[in-house]
Amino acid sequence: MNVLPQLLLNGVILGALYALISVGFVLVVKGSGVINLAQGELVLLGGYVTAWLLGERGLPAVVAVPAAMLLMAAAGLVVERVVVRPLENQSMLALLMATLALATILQGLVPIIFGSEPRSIPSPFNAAPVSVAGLQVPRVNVWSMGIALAFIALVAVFFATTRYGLAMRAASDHRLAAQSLGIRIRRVNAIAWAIAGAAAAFGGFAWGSVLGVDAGLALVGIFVFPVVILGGIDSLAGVVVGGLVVGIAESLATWYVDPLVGGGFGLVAPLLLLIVVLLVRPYGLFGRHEIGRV
Amino acid sequence: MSEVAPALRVQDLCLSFAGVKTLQSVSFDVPTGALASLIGPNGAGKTSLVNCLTGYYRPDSGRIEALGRNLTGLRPDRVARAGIVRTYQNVGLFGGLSVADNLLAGRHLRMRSGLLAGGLSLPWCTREELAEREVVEDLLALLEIGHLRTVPAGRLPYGLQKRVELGRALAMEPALLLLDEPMAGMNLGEKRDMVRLIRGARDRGVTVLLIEHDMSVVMGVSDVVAVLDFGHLIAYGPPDQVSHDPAVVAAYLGVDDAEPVR
Repeated sequence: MNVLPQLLLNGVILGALYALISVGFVLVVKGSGVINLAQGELVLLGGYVTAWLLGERGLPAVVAVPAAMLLMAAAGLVVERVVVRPLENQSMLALLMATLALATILQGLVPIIFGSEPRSIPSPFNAAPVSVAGLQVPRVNVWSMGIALAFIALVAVFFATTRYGLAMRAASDHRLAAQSLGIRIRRVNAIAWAIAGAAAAFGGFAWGSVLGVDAGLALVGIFVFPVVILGGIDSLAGVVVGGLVVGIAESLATWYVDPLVGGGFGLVAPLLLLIVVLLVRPYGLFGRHEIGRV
Repeated sequence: MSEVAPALRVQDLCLSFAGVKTLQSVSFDVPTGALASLIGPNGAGKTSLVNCLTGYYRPDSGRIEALGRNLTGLRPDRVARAGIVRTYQNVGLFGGLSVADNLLAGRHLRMRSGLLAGGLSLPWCTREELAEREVVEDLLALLEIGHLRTVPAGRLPYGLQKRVELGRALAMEPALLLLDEPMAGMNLGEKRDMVRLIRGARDRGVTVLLIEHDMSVVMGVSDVVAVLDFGHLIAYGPPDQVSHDPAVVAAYLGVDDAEPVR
């Protein structure tokens, strides 16, 4: 049996989920110019919140998942208010370190709140896999991919066509000038972080459904970097393509290379890809190529 | 000068950086509806003054009143909300956005639709967007840059970037327009076009404060001229009077046997 189509399909599903959590990261970069090293930890928190609502509170998924997204959007607002805003006019480096601190704090805080026992997210879907063109796929993966892509499309439309979308693009391009147009930078920042929080909640649900929810869930945050570097750090279309490339690379490497090296290469492949891309196209596939002028 | 309250009144403005006195007790008025110019040699404090007026710098002391409001110490976005709009000496365009989007961003304050309604593309928002697009198209036509609407602003030559920036400022429908060296680095033809556009704005009722270091540019067009030198206001009045003022001549040409500048 030819295994390649199945590997590619797995890669695409994986990629859509990578793209989803990367969207939160890209939004924060676009909206507020902050490189957020805590995106993986937000996914972790989102996973626990979803598991709690779905498992312990026993809410149906149609209520629990949107509720988790709302709660995490609020968490995003808190982060903006408590961490980002006080550092408003500080250097990039200060903000970077602050998000690193946030990541560490969340790693410690989440077990304190939710305990360190791994949790599972009860699947709201029928356990029988879906059959796509003769390939077997877990139902939850198909749904996750669909919702992830829909979420990204919604965000893209918001950016391209709405007043605040334009304000965010303007603010990320030239903060001073945006202010002199009457754009409230703080509100723009807050919107970006709220959407990042919501994306992290859904990421936590989708990834938690596949991997289970424990501290390791934060590690998916690392793969935000190959995705956004591949796609260009300020491009939403790039995030989707970057996500797919990383997902497929992981899927193929896991099948073909892992047996040769004794395992684990699937996780290394995207990071190797990251280094190659940095060498060849440092601004990514879709990122803006800065034009120097003399 | 007139019975109407001035559009801008600067009183005893002082600003210093680490002991360097950038502005020392600067006071002047810009009459409503006038095209006023603020000139001075490089380093005279012109841009610092604009940064004070628009909320980017907080003056050490003094008072700024514009359009009947006290602006002293307001945040930049609040100054913009009060109807005071600026351009930047070294171009403050959104380089990655298209020319049309740059102008549309200038409409931000004029647009009503809130976050949610806008996000859901409700019918009245679509209608509003169409109306805004029309405003933008009119401006593109006025500035004769309609053919550039989809070009990323950062790719344009300098002279055109300055023109787009003026367009974005006009898109905000300002009551008071502060132009920080809009003609710097332009060739003669581009300067002429720019002067024509600025006068056009004044003729449509916008009070303009033009910041410039090249005296010859402003003398022909200004209603009133203020001259800044080393943080001091050394002259203020109609162009004829200012260009013959000995202190101004000295500041521009050195002290000895100077001809009046024209």
